[in-house]
Amino acid sequence: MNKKTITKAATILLAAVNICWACGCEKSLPVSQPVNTDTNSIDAILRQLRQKTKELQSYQCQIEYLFSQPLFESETLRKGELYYQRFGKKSKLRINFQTLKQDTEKEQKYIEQYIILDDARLPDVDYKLDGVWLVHIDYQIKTVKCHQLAQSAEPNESVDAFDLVSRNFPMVGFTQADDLQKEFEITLAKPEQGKTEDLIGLHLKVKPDSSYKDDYKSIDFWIDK
Amino acid sequence: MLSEKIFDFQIPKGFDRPEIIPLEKKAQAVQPTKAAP
Repeated sequence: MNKKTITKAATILLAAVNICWACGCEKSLPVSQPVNTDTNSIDAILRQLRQKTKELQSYQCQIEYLFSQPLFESETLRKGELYYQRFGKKSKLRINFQTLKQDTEKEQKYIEQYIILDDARLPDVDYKLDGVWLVHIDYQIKTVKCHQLAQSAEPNESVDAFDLVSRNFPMVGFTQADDLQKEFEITLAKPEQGKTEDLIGLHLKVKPDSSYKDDYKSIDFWIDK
Repeated sequence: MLSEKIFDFQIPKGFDRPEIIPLEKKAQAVQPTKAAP
């Protein structure tokens, strides 16, 4: 899996992290037209991706997160870096945003950080964070919020940062194929203009009874062959 | 292999004390109001 794949996956992850604070905002991701519904090949693609991501010990990638609010005709693009590392049974994940672009305005410097930690100690105030926590540092309004995501688990039952996020959001490649197919109608997508033929596109259309129906219409995911 | 230091963080100077939101607090926030008999 190379950087292109990971970058897209990271975009999806970030949407997951932000979903709690996106109340009332509809995310409208780019939509492409499906070209066929070869269930066998889609299933194989999903399972192959899942296998690859399970083997990952660490990675870092660039991340772009586009937040669209169609009602207000507004779009915000954040850019930064994502880091993931597995330490034995535990894992950590961090996203550092460095720039922000609002609609047609010029891109500006911007600092916002999301960190997922497992059994960490909060610095400066010496507070022990038992379990898995999401730390959100917002330099614009000078706040730090620590959201507990999971209780402490037995040493053999530690929750992986990506597995945890996958419970709340369908992360292609990081979510079980069966779980994805319960929530989405998945088809192969037609190659978009500018995308080379060495990419496979998956088009995920949210099912009417999906738990994600209020936040997403569809997700396009591009991976290398 | 990434350095574990990448995941370290400090509370920047001038920031408010961190707001701690444990799971129990979130669960309380979404509890439905009890219907009147």
